[in-house]
Amino acid sequence: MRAKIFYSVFAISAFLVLWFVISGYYNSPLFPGPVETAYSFFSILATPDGWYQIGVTCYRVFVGTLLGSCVGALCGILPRYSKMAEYTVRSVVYPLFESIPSLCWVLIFVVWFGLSDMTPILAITAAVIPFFIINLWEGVKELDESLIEMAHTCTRNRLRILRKVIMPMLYPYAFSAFKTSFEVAWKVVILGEVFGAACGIGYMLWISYEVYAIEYVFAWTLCCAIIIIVFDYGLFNYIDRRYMRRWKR
Amino acid sequence: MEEVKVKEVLRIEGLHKRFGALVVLDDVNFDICQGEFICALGPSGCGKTTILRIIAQLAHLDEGRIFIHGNEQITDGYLDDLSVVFQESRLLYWRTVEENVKLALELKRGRVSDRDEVVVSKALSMVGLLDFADAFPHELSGGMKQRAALARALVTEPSILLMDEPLTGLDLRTREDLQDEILRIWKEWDMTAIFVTHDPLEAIYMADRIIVLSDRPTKVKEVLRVSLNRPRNRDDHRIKELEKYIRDLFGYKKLE
Ligand SMILES: Nc1ncnc2c1ncn2[C@@H]1O[C@H](COP(=O)(O)OP(=O)(O)O)[C@@H](O)[C@H]1O
Ligand SMILES: [Mg+2]
Repeated sequence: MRAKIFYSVFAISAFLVLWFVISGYYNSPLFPGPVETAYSFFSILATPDGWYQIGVTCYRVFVGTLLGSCVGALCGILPRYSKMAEYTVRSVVYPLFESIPSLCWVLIFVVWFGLSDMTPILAITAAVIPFFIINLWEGVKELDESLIEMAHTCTRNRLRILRKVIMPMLYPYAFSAFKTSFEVAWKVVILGEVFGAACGIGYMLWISYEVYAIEYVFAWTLCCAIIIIVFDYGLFNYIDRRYMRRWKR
Repeated sequence: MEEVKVKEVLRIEGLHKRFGALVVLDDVNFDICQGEFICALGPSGCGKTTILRIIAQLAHLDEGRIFIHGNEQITDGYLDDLSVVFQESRLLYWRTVEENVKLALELKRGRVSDRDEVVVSKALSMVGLLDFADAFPHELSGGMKQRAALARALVTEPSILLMDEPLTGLDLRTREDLQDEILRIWKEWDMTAIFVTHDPLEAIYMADRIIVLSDRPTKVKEVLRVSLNRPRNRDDHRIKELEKYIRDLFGYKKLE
């Protein structure tokens, strides 16, 4: 444990030193070093507006992922109940969302919705849908039919069986879909905000870039990285250890 | 012997079932009376599970009729009155033993009330698992898993209990313990029980009547009444004699 922490600290310090040395060598405003970046980063955090921009982006990631999870989960589970749904998802829905690049969605939504929340949110939704479909398909394939049969001896209410037996069996698959989707959503939201929003981290990145405030480009990038790391290592790890243990056999 | 008027719970007439070209059940007939303990005995693959699945409405029959209390109409009330214990315990691996038992109530009624905590505890103590209420299935031995499955079947207070080789694969001691426990509960709760097995000794020890099934395509070979007083003694020579009689019915073929 001690050794692990030591190596991590060592690697991070080495990275910072390297960054410091190289940026010092070029000594150009186009390549800010760790000190300038940190300074800009904290000046962002020092203003309410900075937090507002971060909040707006988080909100879009949240809503977009949630929307995508609903649509994706439906498309993943419905094929179990209907052949029609299976072929619709297999030959239209999945290929559609799987194959279209996020930038295309962004451009289309800008045309339709202009600079609004809708553009980044729907771009995220479109981007994460295939992850939910593919994961839940996998889960539906792996469903333990013997447990479902047992449930059928207790009730004829299929909705109850879905809620009490089938959906819990799919939780681990939904969870890993959420994990992947969250990372993807952060990449897509920046794209969406650069082209299709009037606020948010992506928008701030774009403005900083337009006025050549590269240290702010770096600082906003750092914001993204930190949020992703906090969520991935912190939140998802926590949920995994706290709630998903029961599902590991 | 005096003739007692017994109420018929279940009657099965002319049951046929095919899977594709494979004829599994070929005219199976039998009936079960109120409070009776019936064993269905037959070689592996003869369709014992299939019969139970048809009775529990998990599979369709191709031909034949099932009468419940003399009535051919199968109502939801019938299913509420019936519980199944499978060969595998079929516990939800993400739920504790107690939560697994509660599941049957949640499925049957949609919600559980505070009163049900008592019912769940009662079912758990019935099978001797009260101390393991918070254990997860993977922490239990095979015998304890089957006890949990039994508790889940009992918690809804069924009047008909279907058991599909619930003790197959357990070691002899656990088997005998559970046989006694099942008999005790059956008696105490005044249930009608259908117990499937391929072990003649088990069938003789437990049953009021044994329905001996033939090889596929399956018919009822013979219905044997076991008129030994309970509690039975496993070393009773009449049990040995009956076992020999049943084994002779199948010739030299092993039942297992
Ligand atoms: N769903 C099914 N599809 C095809 N064949 C089946 C199915 N269920 C059972 N069978 C076949 O029917 C026969 C009887 O099965 P089963 O009722 O499980 O026998 P038993 O419980 O007596 O061992 C077996 O040969 C089995 O392969
Ligand atoms: Mg079987």
